[in-house]
Amino acid sequence: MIELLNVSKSYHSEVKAVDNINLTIPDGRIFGFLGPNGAGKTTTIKMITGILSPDSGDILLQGNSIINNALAAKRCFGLVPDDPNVFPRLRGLEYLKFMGDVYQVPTEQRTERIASLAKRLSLTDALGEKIQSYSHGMRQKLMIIGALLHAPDIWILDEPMTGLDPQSAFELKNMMREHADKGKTVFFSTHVLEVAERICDDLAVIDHGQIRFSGTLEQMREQSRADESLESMFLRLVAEGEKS
Amino acid sequence: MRQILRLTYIMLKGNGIASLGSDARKKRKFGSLGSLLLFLFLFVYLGAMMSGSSIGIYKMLEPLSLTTMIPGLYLSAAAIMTFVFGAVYVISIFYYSSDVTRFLPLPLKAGEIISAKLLVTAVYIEMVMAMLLLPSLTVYGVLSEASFQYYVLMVLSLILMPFIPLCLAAVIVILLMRLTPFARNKDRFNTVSGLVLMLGTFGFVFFIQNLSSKTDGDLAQIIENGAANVSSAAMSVFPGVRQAASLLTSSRLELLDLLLLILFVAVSWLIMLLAGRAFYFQGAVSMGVSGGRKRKISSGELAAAGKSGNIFWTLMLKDIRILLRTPIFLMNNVIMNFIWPIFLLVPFITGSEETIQLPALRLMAQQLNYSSNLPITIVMSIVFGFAAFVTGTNGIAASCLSREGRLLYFMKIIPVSYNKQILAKVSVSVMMAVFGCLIALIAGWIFFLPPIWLALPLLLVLPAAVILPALASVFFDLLWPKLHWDNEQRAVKQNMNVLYGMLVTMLLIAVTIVPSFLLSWFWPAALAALIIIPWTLIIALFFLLRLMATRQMIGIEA
Ligand SMILES: Nc1ncnc2c1ncn2[C@@H]1O[C@H](COP(=O)(O)OP(=O)(O)OP(=O)(O)O)[C@@H](O)[C@H]1O
Ligand SMILES: [Mg+2]
Repeated sequence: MIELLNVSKSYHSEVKAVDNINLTIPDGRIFGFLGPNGAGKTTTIKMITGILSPDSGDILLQGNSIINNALAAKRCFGLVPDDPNVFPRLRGLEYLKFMGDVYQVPTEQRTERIASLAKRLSLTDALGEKIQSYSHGMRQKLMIIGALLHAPDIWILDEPMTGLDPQSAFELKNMMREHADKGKTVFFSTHVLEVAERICDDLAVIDHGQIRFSGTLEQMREQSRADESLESMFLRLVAEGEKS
Repeated sequence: MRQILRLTYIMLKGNGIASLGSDARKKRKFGSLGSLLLFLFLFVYLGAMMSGSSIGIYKMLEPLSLTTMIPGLYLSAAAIMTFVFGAVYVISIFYYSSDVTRFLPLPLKAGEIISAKLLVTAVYIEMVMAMLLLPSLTVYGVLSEASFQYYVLMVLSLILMPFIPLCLAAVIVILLMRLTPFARNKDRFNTVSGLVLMLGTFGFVFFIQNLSSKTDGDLAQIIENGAANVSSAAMSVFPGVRQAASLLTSSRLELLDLLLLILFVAVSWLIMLLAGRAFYFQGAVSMGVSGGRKRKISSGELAAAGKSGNIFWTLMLKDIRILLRTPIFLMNNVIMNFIWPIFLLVPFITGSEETIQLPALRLMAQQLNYSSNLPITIVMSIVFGFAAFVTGTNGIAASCLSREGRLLYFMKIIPVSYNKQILAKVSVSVMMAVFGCLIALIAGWIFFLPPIWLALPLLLVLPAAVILPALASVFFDLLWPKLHWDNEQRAVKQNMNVLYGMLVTMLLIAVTIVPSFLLSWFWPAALAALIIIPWTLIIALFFLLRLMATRQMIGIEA
């Protein structure tokens, strides 16, 4: 579970990139975080993961504050960042060993997880090569494996679908579903509405750093006119926010 | 022409168009101070060495009235070196700097880009040549009591002559790069060529030094047979060398030779332009990111990755791998640990015995006993200073966060305390320095063969000497990390923190060594000072780091 409590953040103390948001991301559900470009999605994820510290408010991961109990909070999540370009001069397998050691994943589980995840994302053959020779999608897959290696309670993904081929995107969706079905939290950002519509249980819409909607897909449908597509709902929410 | 010069200036500035911003420019100027200092040091060091040997060579050839061979010998050596260095520089400047793709869409003529690139290469080459040839040829001028005209012609031929072998090298490289997969692996090439350049420079210096320490008879033999042959071969391969040499040896102004030299330069430039127009751009643009060998992993490797390892060592290993595999880091941060011993030992190995008085020093070292207080204090201080210097100049600790660049965020998401992560980085710096120092110490030991008990105080001095500078310089990077770079060079070479690290190291060396000298009347007391002072500082810094690490790291928003 992730709880955001009155979280605000502004860069260079000008516009608020994230403006006093409250959000609870429950266990066992896939939570989609929607918003147009520059809405504050990445900023929010960076605060949840401790990369940025919020100007005010607190964030709890499985009850651990990322501010006051950072190490415990960091053990709870695995992150797939929006830019998968990490350590180009390490080999894929070296990166995974690094992640396994840092998260102290026990020997037996590690080998098995690396083998099965790599097989599922068809990355096994590339693991011996340097990351700099990977394509964008391959790097993304490596980040996914690295994030899942310690079987985190919370799985956070920033724009995970960009750059994945249809088969891998499908596989990733299944993996997210399985993770949630194990009673764990999946939190991902996207601006691709079809993706959100197809796999989210819950979703929140953020725009100009403010939450415009938060709830289940059905609630969102109820709130809006009948048989409106997610796309027009989304556009309307954003437009309404603009007016106010 | 103005366009070409402007392009050259932009390329020299470093990173093409990106550096046009005035803000970035100001910062960089400041940051290159470190490399400037190093360059000056090299310049003075090599200059002194070259002029010394040139005097020796001149004095030995004088009685044989062979001195007029000297300019020809030097110029042919320079032509050969320009050809070799030139090929390497051309590859890195023409093919590995990514600015071509940025210049191509601009309204520039192909010839302008190629000429500008050639000029950039020439600037680098001529800097090296000036370093080696200016002292030697000046010495020749002074000793042969040459007229003012000689010096004008000397500068002129030093500027003109290298263009000919350089253009030849460029043409060959351009053809090779277009037609073969030669040098496609950028990282490996950078490493190998960096090493070749370094060894080449040293080799040349060694060679000249060696010549000057030979007896006159031997030398004349070598020059008459070997060197003269090589020189005449070089003269026939590289047109222009013969003319430049004759310009420098004739007392009259050989106008024909001068015109020929200029003509050769123009022709080779033209040939190079034609080759470039035909073959350069396709070759450069198709230069992708270097790919490694395709390699499948075995189940054994998979099992090895499965074994859980110590976190601290894992963190260190990650940094070590990146240091070793990134050519710029390898050259600046790793090889630097091993280069100083060579620098210091060069005079001993090649120098003539009378000037260094090696046997006397060796004898002194062997006669050290428990009551030689001052000499032992000196030796201990030298070892302390040397070890601290090696650590301070490797810049690993001072650039440990800067080298992460935009990946610094990774340090923030992993569940390891910042203090531990930074200490792991400090340990990498210490580890590299320890290797470098041990090799130097062992070499020195074999050289001087001091009594065996002396090893104990020296080994006691060593740990603090390598830990203290690393721990101290990490604070600069913690306070002012330089994270926004698109080229690794900026993280280590153009990073003020590395310079600050070196300066604070000098300060720490002084702070430790001065008190030990005050106690040099009783060397165990001096030893105590060399241990207690740095360790006290280390403990203080250790606690300061613990206080600061987390707060600073949270504050850094990459
Ligand atoms: N490093 C930064 N410095 C200054 N402003 C920033 C920085 N990063 C983001 N911003 C600003 O913060 C706001 C939110 O950006 P954020 O990256 O969170 O958007 P996003 O929702 O992830 O967008 P996208 O869908 O394009 O990824 C934007 O207005 C952006 O201009
Ligand atoms: Mg984003």
